Formats: sequence, C-alpha cells, structure tokens
Amino acid sequence: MALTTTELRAQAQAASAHLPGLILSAERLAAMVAPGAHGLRRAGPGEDFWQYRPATHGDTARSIDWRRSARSDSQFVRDREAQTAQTVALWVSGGQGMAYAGAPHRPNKGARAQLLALALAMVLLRGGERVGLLGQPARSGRMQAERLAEGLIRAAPAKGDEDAPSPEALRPNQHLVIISDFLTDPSWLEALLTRAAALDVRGVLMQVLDPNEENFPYSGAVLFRSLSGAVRHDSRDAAGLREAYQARLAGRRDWLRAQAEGAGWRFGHHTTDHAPALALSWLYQVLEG
Amino acid sequence: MLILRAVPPAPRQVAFPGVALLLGLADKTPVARRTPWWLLLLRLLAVAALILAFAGPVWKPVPRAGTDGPLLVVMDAGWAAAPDWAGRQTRAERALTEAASDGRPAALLLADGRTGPKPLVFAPADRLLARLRAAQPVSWETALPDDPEAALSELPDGSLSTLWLADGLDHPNRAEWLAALTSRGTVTVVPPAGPVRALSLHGGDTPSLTLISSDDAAPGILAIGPDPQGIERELARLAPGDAATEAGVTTRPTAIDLPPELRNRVTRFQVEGEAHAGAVVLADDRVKRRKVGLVGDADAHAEGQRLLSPLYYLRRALAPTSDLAEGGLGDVLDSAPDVIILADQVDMAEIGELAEWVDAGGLLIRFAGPRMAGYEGLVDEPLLPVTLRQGGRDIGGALSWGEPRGLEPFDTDGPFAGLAVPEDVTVRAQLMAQPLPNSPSAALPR
Repeated sequence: MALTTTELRAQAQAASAHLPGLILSAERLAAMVAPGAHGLRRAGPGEDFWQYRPATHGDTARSIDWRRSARSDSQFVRDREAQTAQTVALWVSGGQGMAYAGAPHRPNKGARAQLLALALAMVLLRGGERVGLLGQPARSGRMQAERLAEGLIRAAPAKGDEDAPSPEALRPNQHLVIISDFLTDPSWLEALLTRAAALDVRGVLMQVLDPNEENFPYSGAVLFRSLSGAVRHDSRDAAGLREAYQARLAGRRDWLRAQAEGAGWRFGHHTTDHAPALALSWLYQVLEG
Repeated sequence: MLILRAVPPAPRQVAFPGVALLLGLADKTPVARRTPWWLLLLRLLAVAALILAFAGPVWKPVPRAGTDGPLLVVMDAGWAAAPDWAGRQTRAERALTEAASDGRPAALLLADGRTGPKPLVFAPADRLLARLRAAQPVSWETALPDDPEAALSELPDGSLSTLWLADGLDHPNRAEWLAALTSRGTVTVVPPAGPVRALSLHGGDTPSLTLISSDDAAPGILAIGPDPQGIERELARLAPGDAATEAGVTTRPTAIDLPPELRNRVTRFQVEGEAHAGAVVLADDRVKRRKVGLVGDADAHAEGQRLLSPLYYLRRALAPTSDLAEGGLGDVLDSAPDVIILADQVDMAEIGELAEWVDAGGLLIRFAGPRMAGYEGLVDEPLLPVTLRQGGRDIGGALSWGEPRGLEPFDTDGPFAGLAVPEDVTVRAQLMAQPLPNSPSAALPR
C-alpha cells in the first residue's frame, strides 16, 4: 500500500481529529533548558502570570511583589507559570515484514504504523510539544507534521526482516515511541532499554500485527517464508502448529511487557483490523501519564 | 487426473512475517512424504501413453489408390479457388507424391484460361511438384480448355484416375470435361472447403451492390478509399440487404447508402473477410455522384417564371442522380462542379474564367434559346464549337413552309446510343451554323 505524503497526512488528521491536545505530564522537565511553548498549569519558571501566593520562608526579598503586598498586610510573591516543552521521538520499524497485509482489503502493517505515528505526532504538536523522528531534530509547529509525514514516507525500508533503532540516537529526557511488529529477534531491545534508563528516557512499545499473525489461519502443507525470503519453515500440517505458534506469540508479548515495565515503559499491541483510533487513544493516555 | 496430482500435495508458498516464531516447531501429525507404488505405476503408464501419442500413430491409414494408371490433377484456378489455395496445393501435392512413389505418370491441368489447346503431357509425377508449388490462382474465372478430347489425346495406357479440385462454380466446358474424364476412369472431385462469395456493382440512377453467396451468412461490405488525409482506409461498412435464396445461391442486394462526399471518395468495395478477386469491386464513375452547375435562371424567384425557366427540365432530369449548384456563373465556378450547363446564356461577364475552366478540362454544355437566337454578337460569341448565325429559323409557323419534323433514331455507337426518341418531340426552331469547311467535324455524331 504505497501512500503519498498527502494521503498519509489526511488519514492521520482524520484519526486524530477527536482527541484533545495532549499535554504531557512533566515530572522532570523543570530542569530542561529549552524554553517552552505552553504552560504546565503550575508555578515555575516562565513568563506568564500564574498566581499570587503568600510569601513563605525561603523566598528572597527580591521575589516579593511589592505592589500587590501594599494592598494588604501580608507579603505576596508573584508566581509565573512553568513553561517548557516535551520532546517526543518516534521510531517506526522499516523491516520487510512490515510490508505484510494478510488480506487485500486490509492495510499493511507498515502503513498502519506510519498512520499511528503521524496521528500521534499531530496530537502532540497540537499540544505544543516538540516531535521528531528518532535521530532527527525535533521541532514544534504545524509544519513539523508535514516534515514528519515526508520523513515517514521517504524512510528507506530495511534490507532484511529485522530493523532496530540505534541506541546512540537517544537524547536525555526524551519520550520515545517505538512501533514495530516485534516478530524478529528482539534482543536489541534490552540494550536500548538499558541506555534509555541511563539517559532518563521513557517511552512506549507498540506492537502492530496483522490478524493473520494473531490467528494463524493456515492448514495443510505450507512453506512459510519471511518477506525478504531469508527465513523459511516447511510444514506439512500447518493447522497443528497453531497452538504452539500462539503460545510463542503470547510468550513474546509477555517478555516484551516484562522488559517494558522493568524499564518504566509501557507496552501495547494493535491489529490492523481494528480502528486505528483505539490504538491512538491508548497511546495518548499512556503518554499523558 | 485428480489422483495424479493430489498425493502428496505440493506445499503452498505463504509469505508470513512471523516465521521466526515457527522455527524449530515440529509437525504434530506428519503427512506421508513418499509416493505410494500404485501412484508411481499410474504415472509411469500416463507418461508411456503420452510418449506413444507423440510418436504419431496412424489409426486405419487411408487406403491408397490401387491402380497403376496415369493420374490427372485438375485444379480450378480462378478467383473462387483463391481463399483455400494453400489447402488445394497441399491436396494436389499429396496426390502427386503418392503417384511419384508408385511410379505412375501424372499431368497437371491448371484451369486458369491460359493453357493452350495443346494436348496434356504426362510425365513422372515428381517433376510436376515445382510447377504445382509455383502455381497461383488468377483474378478471373476458371476456364477449362475447349476440347477435352484433343487435350487427352496423348493419354498413356491404363485406367486414368482424376483428382479434380473444384472451386464450386459452374464453368463453360465443365460438363464436357467431366464426361470425357469419367469415360476414361475414376474421377474424384474435391469440393471447396468454404462458401463462395462474390460481389457485383450495378450502375444507374441509384447504384447498388449485390452480394452473391453459396451460404446465407451476411458478411459486411467495406467501402475503402482515401480519407481526408489521403490515407487509404475503411470509409464505411455496408450491411447486406435482405436475402433471396434460389437453388442454394443467396443473393443480397445492398444499397450504397452513403453521403455524396464519402461516396465520391470510395475506390473499391470489398466483402469483409474474403481475400479473392471476386469479392472486390472497383468503384468507378457509376458510384460517384456528380456536381452539376446550372446557369441560366436569372429570375428564379419570380413565381410566374417557374415553369418558363430554361432550367426547369434540366433540374427535373438531373436532380435524382447528381448534386445541383445553381446561381450566377461566378458562384457556380466557385463551387468546383464537374459539369457546367449554360441554358440560353450569351455575353457573360465571367466568360474569361469559364474559358480557363474549360481549358483546364472542364465539361461545358450549352443549350440554345430565344435569347441566344436574338443576340446580335452571336457570330463572335466564344466557347461555341461552331460559329452560329444570328436569328435561326422557325419551322411550322405562319410565315414558314413545311411541317415540324421529329428526330431520327440515334446512332448505336454515338454518345446518345440507347436513348429512345419520344414520338411527340418535334423541332420547331433551329439555330443554324455558319457553313464553314470544318463544320461537320465540329458537330457531335448523333
């Protein structure tokens, strides 16, 4: 399913239309140097007026707002609203397996993953966040959605079945969204999560699967091969493999969930026959914290 | 056949991204991977049958002619033989090859009308093969030599066997030849493989085509000619009309129902799907619709003048078969007519252009009338074949002698040949030519 930039953008806009602007919780963002674009609805470093509060111990004399204090007997401090921006990095797997669609009327997994990524980016951008593809500069503003769509479409697919984000591309205090099918060897995830914990990066793992990969609707003699053709499995009784396959898939999911929770991340999965808005709402809630 | 393919089934190739999760899994109920012996035997038998079939076995071979007498191959070579000519050649070649292997003498009679009256020469059959392969059908009708007895005079001994590849049409001398050949031995007649179709064109006021066919199919008739860019292509497709079958021959009259602009461009008509001369008719002047320029009706709009107009009878005569262009001489010349008719016109302004048009090959017909007779400068009028005398002469009036006389019948070889002379036509007024030495040669023969 070859999408053009315009089509992808239009679909993502439709999927993200009903979500309110997302404002990330910002537990650790006070230390961020970058000036923010939106208020965090609490006192902190910023430019806009937030509230007057009575002066307490620890407030310097310079911080007291004398004009307000002159109208009453106690001293007041003028707080400003904390302003900062959150940076979200997106990574969509480009492995060849993502080009798989189990039925002609379903989109392939890669298209659905791109759609989710861009829709999420639009919601975030609407909330004033800075969004970028992993390894590329994150920017805010509506024009960034155009650049993201362009980047998602233009991203070169991987040579083989496997594709992994580079741990070196992580930056401190990012949020990272990883969308992949996690069907190939996931050992790269451990290294990535270790480095992410060191850099204080939080994130989400999103597994996008085709219904065929969940249900395994095959029977009889089948020669399975991966989309790049590198891996094959010859079976004479495919129906008999179903339970073992589904058990392995469940095991893979448990492992992923354990990895994610161990690092403070979240793990979710989505099949392409479901509406993308469900997955998008979930991502929205998870990132909101 | 289902059994041959069913066991063991070829594995289905499926692209599946989750194949990494399948690696190392063993099948629960392994299916037989070995071919059972009876299936192997069945397949071997099928292969053996195929090999035998490809070896080209002959079931009940055609019995060969048991005679050792001479062989005569008669090939109708007119247009009707053209469609399946290659098949006819093959059939004749087979007969000649058989005769050659039996050592029988043979002769080949190509009935294309070009064989002289000399007797047929019987020779070893393989010498005739080259001539047979070079033979081509002709575009006219099959014609057999006139005298079968003379042609068969040098017949070698033995009972003659004849192979006649007929084209399905009756020809002059056919019955004589058949009688002569049957009296000398056996005659095998091979009828044509398909139906015979021919096309003919009838002229007249409304030209039409006739499709004659030996079956009742109605193939389209293509009108072919140059299109406005000058490229020859199919201009129109005529559907044959209602069929009338008589003695196995179906006749379909077909009207040429085309606009004049298109009809004048047609160069030939052709029966669709037929590749021989009988299915092609070249379109000549009979098909064309001519444009005739009429000059001579200055008062066309005056109602009282309608019947007195000098063009009244010309219009009635020409309108069914041609396109008329009327008006002043200049307008008529501009419309590029094929013929210009001047009715009782003298001393015209555009006579110079008209003379150029005539010099360039235009056909000009002039009719005389009272105005011409009374014109003073008639002696100097250009564009007349002979010099005319002013005034003319009246016959049958109060001041003249004699009764008006009728017309003589036209000569049978003149341009008016075939026209019947009506009884009630009499000559009452005449314009006379100046008597000059060359006058008789300038007048058209009757």
